[in-house]
Amino acid sequence: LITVDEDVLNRLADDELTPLERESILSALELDAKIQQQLSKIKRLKLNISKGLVTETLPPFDISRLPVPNRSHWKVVTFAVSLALVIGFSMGRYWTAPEDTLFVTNQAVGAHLVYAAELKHPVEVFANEEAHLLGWLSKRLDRTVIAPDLARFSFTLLGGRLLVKGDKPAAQLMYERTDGVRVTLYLAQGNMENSEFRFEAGDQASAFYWQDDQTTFALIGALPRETLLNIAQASYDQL
Amino acid sequence: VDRWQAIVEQLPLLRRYALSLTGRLNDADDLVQATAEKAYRKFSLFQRNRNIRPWLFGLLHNLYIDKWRHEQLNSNNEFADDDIQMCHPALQQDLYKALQSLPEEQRSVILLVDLAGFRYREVASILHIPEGTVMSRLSRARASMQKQLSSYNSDNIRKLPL
Repeated sequence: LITVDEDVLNRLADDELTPLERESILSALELDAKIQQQLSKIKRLKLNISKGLVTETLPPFDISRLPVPNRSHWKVVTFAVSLALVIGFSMGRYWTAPEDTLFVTNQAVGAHLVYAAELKHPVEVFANEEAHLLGWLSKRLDRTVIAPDLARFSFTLLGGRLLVKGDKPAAQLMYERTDGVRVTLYLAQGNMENSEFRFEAGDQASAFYWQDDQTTFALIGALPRETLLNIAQASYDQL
Repeated sequence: VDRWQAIVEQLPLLRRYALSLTGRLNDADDLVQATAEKAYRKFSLFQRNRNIRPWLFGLLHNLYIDKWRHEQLNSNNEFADDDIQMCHPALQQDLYKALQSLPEEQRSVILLVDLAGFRYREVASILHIPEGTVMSRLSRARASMQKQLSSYNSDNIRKLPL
């Protein structure tokens, strides 16, 4: 039998109980007027927040602030991005990267090669302290650092560490697949010229890198380009 | 373009969430604008099988946390009374005060569940916290709101036009 505590009442009100739990709590509920009262309090609060905060007196949002000047513009952007990706695919190394991005990939790939090879100390903070790790890195990088969920690719977070980029902090998150293959995600403050995905093939590991807001990202691993791209896109999507 | 439409359709709810989160209309609109821009930039790569709502709220929440971290040192996080009075009839202001009294981490959870109507597991993925943490924060948020609201004139709250 299920214990009727605050959590269970909340889950009942939010329709988060399994049918079995629900059934057993509903019979308990009938017997206890105090619990019923508590449940209706929760429901009333829910209703107040969901309906009470909806208001007609809000001044309308200024639509001109939205980034949709016209649709054809958006199509051009989509086309350019996909073209860039296609060219990135077919040309690979022929891309002439600006100085700064070379610096970034050298750093990111270097850190990957050094630390992913570590047996005992691949990371500074292991994933069992994920919240602490991400809180720490967010603070140091002055940006919300998230560990993207790469379970779709059978990669799980191993942990992460703080890195140095010039005189600034950077970060590395490391993921591991069940067969022992590791990929790292590199983040640093910085402004590369272009934001689109770039591919950089290397002898020991390859990298995709991109720019988002004020952060430069790179995903590094000894994996086929297509696999790496898929993981990079999934990361981009979540970051 | 259809997917862009799907984003635009979520903006009113995103804005209401942002307003309840920040308590300032200006901040809320800045957040909504930044979220829309980010979503616009990102969604050519958006995976079709993913649900767009949690994704958008996640983007907004990250932007909020970044902004909040920047401003934490040199500003108070008070709600702007003028904005609240302008946007909300007197009856709703107690509700806002009670929300304001919550720590940020609890406020976002209760708003995502009750205002935006997300499942616990969606809230967990938006905020990047375990589901158990969602539940405990929600419990604490509700308990403290109930306490606050009963110390105000709770009749007002109950008689909201629903």
